[in-house]
Order: sequence, then structure tokens, then C-alpha cells
Amino acid sequence: MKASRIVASIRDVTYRYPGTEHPALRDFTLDVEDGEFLLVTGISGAGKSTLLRLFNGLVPHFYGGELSGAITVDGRDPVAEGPGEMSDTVGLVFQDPEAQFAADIVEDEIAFALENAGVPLPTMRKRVEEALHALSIEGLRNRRASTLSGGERQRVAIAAALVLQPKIVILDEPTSQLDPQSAEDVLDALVKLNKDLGLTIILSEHRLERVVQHADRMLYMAQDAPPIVGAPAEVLSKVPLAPPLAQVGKLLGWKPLPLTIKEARRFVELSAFDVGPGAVEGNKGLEAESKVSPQRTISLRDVWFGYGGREVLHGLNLEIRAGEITALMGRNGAGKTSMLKLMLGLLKPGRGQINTLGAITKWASLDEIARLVGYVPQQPDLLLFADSVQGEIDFTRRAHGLAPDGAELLASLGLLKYRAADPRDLSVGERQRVALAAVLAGNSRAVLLDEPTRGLDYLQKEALVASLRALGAEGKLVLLATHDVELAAQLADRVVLLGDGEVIADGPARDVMSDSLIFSSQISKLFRNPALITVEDVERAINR
Amino acid sequence: MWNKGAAEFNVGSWLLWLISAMLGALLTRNPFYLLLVTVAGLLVKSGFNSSAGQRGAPGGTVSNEDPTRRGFGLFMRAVLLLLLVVTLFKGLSIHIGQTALFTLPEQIPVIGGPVTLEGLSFAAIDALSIMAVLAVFAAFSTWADYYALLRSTPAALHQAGLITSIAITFVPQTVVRFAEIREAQALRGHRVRRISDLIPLIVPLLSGGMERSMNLAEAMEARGFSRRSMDSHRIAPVAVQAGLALGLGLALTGGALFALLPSAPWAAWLCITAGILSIVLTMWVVGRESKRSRYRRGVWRERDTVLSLVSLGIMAILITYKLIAPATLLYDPLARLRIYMPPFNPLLGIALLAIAAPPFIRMGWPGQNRQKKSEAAKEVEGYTR
Repeated sequence: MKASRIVASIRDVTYRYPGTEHPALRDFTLDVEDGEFLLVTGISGAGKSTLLRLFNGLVPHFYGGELSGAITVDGRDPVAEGPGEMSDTVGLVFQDPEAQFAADIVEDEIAFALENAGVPLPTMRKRVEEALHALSIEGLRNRRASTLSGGERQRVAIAAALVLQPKIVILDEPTSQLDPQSAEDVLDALVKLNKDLGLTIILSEHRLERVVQHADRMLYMAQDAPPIVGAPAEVLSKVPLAPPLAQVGKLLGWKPLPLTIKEARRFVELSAFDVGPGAVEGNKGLEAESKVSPQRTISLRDVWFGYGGREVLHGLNLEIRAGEITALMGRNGAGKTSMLKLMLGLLKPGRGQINTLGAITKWASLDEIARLVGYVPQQPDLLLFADSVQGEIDFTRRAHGLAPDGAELLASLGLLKYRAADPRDLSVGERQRVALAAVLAGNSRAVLLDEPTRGLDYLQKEALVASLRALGAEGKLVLLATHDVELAAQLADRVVLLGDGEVIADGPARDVMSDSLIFSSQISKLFRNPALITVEDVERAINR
Repeated sequence: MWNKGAAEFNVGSWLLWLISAMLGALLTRNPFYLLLVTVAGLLVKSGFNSSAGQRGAPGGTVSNEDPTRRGFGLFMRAVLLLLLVVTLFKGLSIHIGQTALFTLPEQIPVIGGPVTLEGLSFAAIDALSIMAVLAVFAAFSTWADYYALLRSTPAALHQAGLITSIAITFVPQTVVRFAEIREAQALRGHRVRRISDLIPLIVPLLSGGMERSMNLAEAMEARGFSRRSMDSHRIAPVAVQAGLALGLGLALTGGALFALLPSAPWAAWLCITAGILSIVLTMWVVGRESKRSRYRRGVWRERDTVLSLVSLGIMAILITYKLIAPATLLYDPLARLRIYMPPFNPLLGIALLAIAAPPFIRMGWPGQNRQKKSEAAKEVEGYTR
């Protein structure tokens, strides 16, 4: 990049949150160029969120703590001016689409910042209209926030941040709570703003496969190492966190590292790398249906379900078996969560029958089902209340009338060192595993997980995958409802694809994935070979 | 997309409707009238549904289930259940009246003794009047735009109104979250048997609520909620406090004067008026200093005029009857100690039925705003980048 104008600069900043010993940022220096799309990434706890909040003064104004060094944003000093004053220079969009709305109606929400700035009404109307237009959400203007989907909410939040016409828009993991399609909608909107208006965008994200191709530069932050900044392909080649495509590129020595399937396909065509159909190793053989007893399956027979005058599931037949890991996939509103709740007896089918490990959910009490099945909700924080990890385990065991124990369980989930720690002090990934441990402590024969990888980085995901694989190998029934195709490719033996309340595809993960365009992993899209759907597969093929 | 989402009516006309419907529920104690109010309230609550359907997302990815509504529904169901229990208990514990139905053993405290039809019907009317209030309130809140409502507070109270509006949106979210926590913990084997068993439900609820509030506070801060220009009033905060204290002091003194100087009520009234004036004046001065501006001046459409007139009509009829013939509004089997036919006045009946007017008025004036909207849109298109 040539000598473009610097819009924001951070010089030797060290910052410590109040009441902590280790600084969240140490001697940090960064220049942001005008009009660039900067992707911020790194392992959890490396200070990404802290960095993003430096630009508008939320750090240190909102959080307190000690700060040294100099920050300049568009010629202003956020530390001196504070977040309120900086709001016309820096717009900020947060992770949780639900917890950043101050108004009920979309139009009011967008006007909120203008009202605070005391902008007169005629100008306000114009600005609100522009913001709606820029995000193509004119159709949403009169909607209530509670009726919007996650993706729509995030676009409204971006419009609300844009309305004061800031120089920079900063987004803190804006898509981590969204399904792939909604995430794409949000990112497309951002790319358009960046290209059409020359808006500077700073965005942090865990799922690099979604964004890396849009970024001009990438910043990688590690906990105890200096940050790495540069062109995305260059940075990816140096860091441990990389999307599957880049990992394969590294394995096969492709240079420059491909960021899109299109770029990577060229390498595939050039190289002689090829694997025959015989390469499918450890073919996760599915158990023959007839052999499995009802005590080891969850079966749905002609299940109909609807609420609020809307049919969610119609005439569903399905059998989930123990000993294999099943991923339930499908778009938002396809009926995934309803199906989990039906299996757990939290919802009752309108017609048909569900047999969960021998209990007919229509008649079985919740107590009875709770003894058979464990359930990990989307937000692990719904479960966690005790002041230590061990306390969570003890609680479940007491509730099931079991003697206190759990050392082995914690060890198998890699949580033994946190035994006495307060779950609230742990990272999202660790909390997710504590919730899993808390559920497993009841010795249930099956575990159902709803969207387990929300907000996890690659390393945390690896840890979760390992834990769930071990459970599957123990012969437990593992069922996860997820959007995360990479997770499903890595973990699942079997994929069930739901669409509009019906099973669209059901079969071995390899077959379903290599046959689908949308619900397909990056590697599967690249090779279009059922033998190659994960980085591991490629690795194995090379070593063969 | 011509329909205004939640704001089917202007805040002002909608408030007038609330007052007239509430008068209907509170001034009458007659099963016919109360039933009419309840039915009218429920009609209004569901009456906009034909248009609500159009608010569904065009993309089709939005779940039709609105958690806010679901939370409210849960709350209403709990209230109704409570109401049923209380009514039954009350009906059984009133032993007055001629028509004894059966007798409960005297050993049972409170409810032991003869159970009379008069007592039961008295309790039932009580329940009905609470139902009527609930139905009216449910209808009001379903279609009220709380945000607009709270933002129509005077400028000096703007901050307070805004914070309250945010707090209100928190309530249903909290109810939904609580239900989710209960389900998840129940599947973990948790049962509530003692008070201490509530901890696994309360702690996640509170910590989640805290986190949410922090996120929201941060998001509001980042959009200039507490900009410095807001605080730089020319008047010192001490002056504002003094003005409010003086006003409150005067008003309270006035109240006390009623008791101390019963012979001179004018002195008390004078004091109270001066106090209120002082408070209003202080607020006005503070409001003038506020640099905040407001986005939406309420749109007053033709249908708002119609609704206001209807509401005022209802109020006039109700108040007239209350003043000249209060007995027509009431039915009191306990006072007369016998069951009799409740009176029914057709004019009052029509007036109370008119409470159900909003959805019909709304249907009669559909495309009213469409033209204006498209003109406004054209106008701004010129400015768009």
C-alpha cells in the first residue's frame, strides 16, 4: 500500500483493566489507513475487544483502569474527549444483536445518536433516510426490533452507527451470533459501504473463512507475542489460527496462500494432488438400523408440530442412534430448535410419537427424561450459577442422587486445572465445556447440544470437538443442532439436513456434504470429493 | 409498507382511548357492562391482526414468534391463574346472602360456613372487573408504542422516560430468559423444593441481565447518550434542586394545612398550587436547556381525530350516568342481600361497545399515510449519497 492517509494511530499503548494484574494491551502500536478494511483476529483473550474500544474512548472511559501511550483518531484524542464526543467520528457495532437496541422501532433506533447530538429535525430525517438506504433496509423502518432476525438487527445496528457519518466504523464480532446466510448479508453490506463510500472498517471475527477475502489488511493478536499486521495471505501463513482453506494451502505449500475457493481451485488444477475413492479411512460406519435397541435411539414417527398458527414440522420420520455423532443442520427457522425441544419433552408433538431412549415424550415426566438425556443450551450461561466448576458438577450429581465425583470427567474435558475456578472468570469456550461437564455429570446416555460453537475461536472449537468425539466413542448418543458446516464436517458421522420442517437429506456426513452447495465445508467445496471434507482428510491423504 | 408497525394510532389519541376504556372498566360494577368492556378489550387486542400479518419479514427468515409478546402472554396467564384462586377464596369466604348453596364445615377457618350465591356472584363480579381492566390494558400495551409514549414526556424528564422505556423492554426478555433457564436446569435434574433451590434459577438470570445491561449501556454510550454538551447547563444543578425542593415542600405543606387549618382550605390550595407551579417552572427551565432533539413528532391522522372523538363520547356518557344515575352502573347482590336481574341500559351498552372501535377505525382509513410517505421518500432520495 502506498503512502495513504492515516486516519487513526495508536502509539505504545499499555492498558490494564481495573483490578487485574496483567495488562490487556502492552506497548501496542497500530496505524489504520483511511478507507481500509482491517480485519482483527487472534485467540480469545488477546485483547481484541479492548483494542476496538480504544478508538472511541470506551476504554478507558467506560471501564476505568490505567492507560499510557497516545491515541489519535482523525486528529482527535478519544482519551481526552470520551465516547460520547467521539460518536461522530467513530461508530461502534457490538456482538450481541439483541443487547444494543435503545429504541423499539427501527427508525427511532437509528435516530437515537442524532437525538443525542441535538441534530435538528429536518437534517435528522435526511440522515435517517440515508442510513436506511445505505444498508438497504428501508423496508424495515417501521418494524419493531423484537420482530427482526439477527442479521436484520445487525444491519440496523450498523445503520445506527453510521448515522452520524463517522470516519470509521468498528465492529466487534458482528456475525458471531448469526447463521451463515445472515452473516453473509451483514458482510456484503459492509463491503459495499467500504467500496462505495470509502468508509474505514475495522472488524474483529473468529470465523475467518467468512471475512478474510474482503479484508485489505489483517491484524493478528496473540497474548504474549507482538501483533502481526499485513496482507491477509501473508499473515495467515504465519499464524496458528487459519480457516480450513488456508490450512490446506499451508499443508500443500501453495503460495500465495489462497483466500477463496476460486483462487484455491487453480492450485488444485495445477498440482497432481489427487486421491482415489479408496482413501476414505476409518469410514465412520453407520450401525445397521435393525440392530439398535430403542433404549439407544431417539426416534420420531410421523411427528407434526406447530405453534402460533404456523406449522414447524410436518410428518417427520427420523431415528438418531447412539454411538454416532449426528449433526442437525438447516437454516434459521427450519425447525432445529423445535426438534431438540420435542426430543427433550419440553414441547409435545401435535401428532405422532417421539421415543427418546425408551421414554415416550408425550407421557414421560421431565424427571424421567432428565435421567436419560443431557441438554446443553445455546448459551452455556443459562446453566452456570455455582462459584466453582466443581460446584456445578456436584449440583448435577446431587440432583440425580449420585455421589459427588467428577475428577475424571473434568480431566477428560481438559478442565481439571479450573476445578476451583469461578466459571464466570473463564472464556466462552471454557464456559461451554463447563456447561457440557455439568450436563454430563448426570451420567446421561445421550447429550443434545444447541449451536455449541457460537462465539468460539478455532482453538476452542478444537477442544470442543475432541470432547464430543470422546463421548461418541464411549457409545453415547450425541446430537448437535448447528449452522457451523466446518464443525459438522469435522465431527459428525451423520448429517441430517432440515428444510422447512422436513428432512431434505440424511446420510453419512461425507455424502451429504459433498453433495450440497451451501451446507458444505470449504475443503469439500474445493475438492468435491467425499473422501476429502476436512483438513484432517487432506493430511491423511498426503501421508498415505 | 404503509402501516406504522406498532404506532397504529398517535400516542395522544391512544391514551384517550385508554382513559375511556379504563373508565368503562372502573366505573361500572355490572356483569353485562364489564363483559362488554372485556370483550371489547380483547377485540382490540387481536383486532389489528389482519394488518399485523403484513409486518412479517419479506425474506421469510424471521421467526414469527415475538419473544416480547410471548413474555407478556406468560405474565398474563400467571395473573389470570392468581385471579381465579383469589376469586374462589373470596366467594367461599363471604357468608352473607339469602341463597345458601351448601355449607362448608365450620372448623375450617375463614371459608367454613354457609356458601351463598350472593357471595359467589359478588366475587365473580370482582373478578370480572379485574379481567376488564386487564383486557383493556393488554389491548393498550399490545399496540402502544412505549418508546413514543415515554418520549412524549417533557424535555426535563427525557432521560427518565428513555430509561424507563428501556427498562420496559427488559421485562419480557427477562421472563423469556427465565423460562429458558428453568427448562435447561430442569433437564439437569433440578427441582424447586426449598427457597434455596431458587439459586440455580436466579443467579443465571441476574448475571445474564447484568451483562445485557452493561452491553446496552456501552452501546448507548458509543452513540453519544451522555455527551458533554448535554450536561453543560447554564443553570447550576443546585438551582434546579432548590427549585424542585421548594415546589415539593410547598405541596406537602399544603397537604398538611388541610389538617391543621380545616377552616381555611383556600390556604392549603394556594400552597399546593404554588408548589406545583414551582416544579413545572423548574422543569421548563431545565427542558429549555436540553440540547437533545427529537426525531419523530407524532403524526396525527384523520383516524386519530375519529378515535379521540369516540373516546371522548364514551367518557361523556359514562360520567353523565355516574353523576345522574349511578345505580344503573352497579349490580350489588350483597347490599340487597338477594340475587336480582342486573340492570341494562342500551345507550350505556352502545357506549361500552364503542371501546372496540380502534380496529374498525383503523380499517376504514388504510392508505391515509401512503401518499405522504412516498413524497417524503422522493424528497430525501435527492440527498442520498
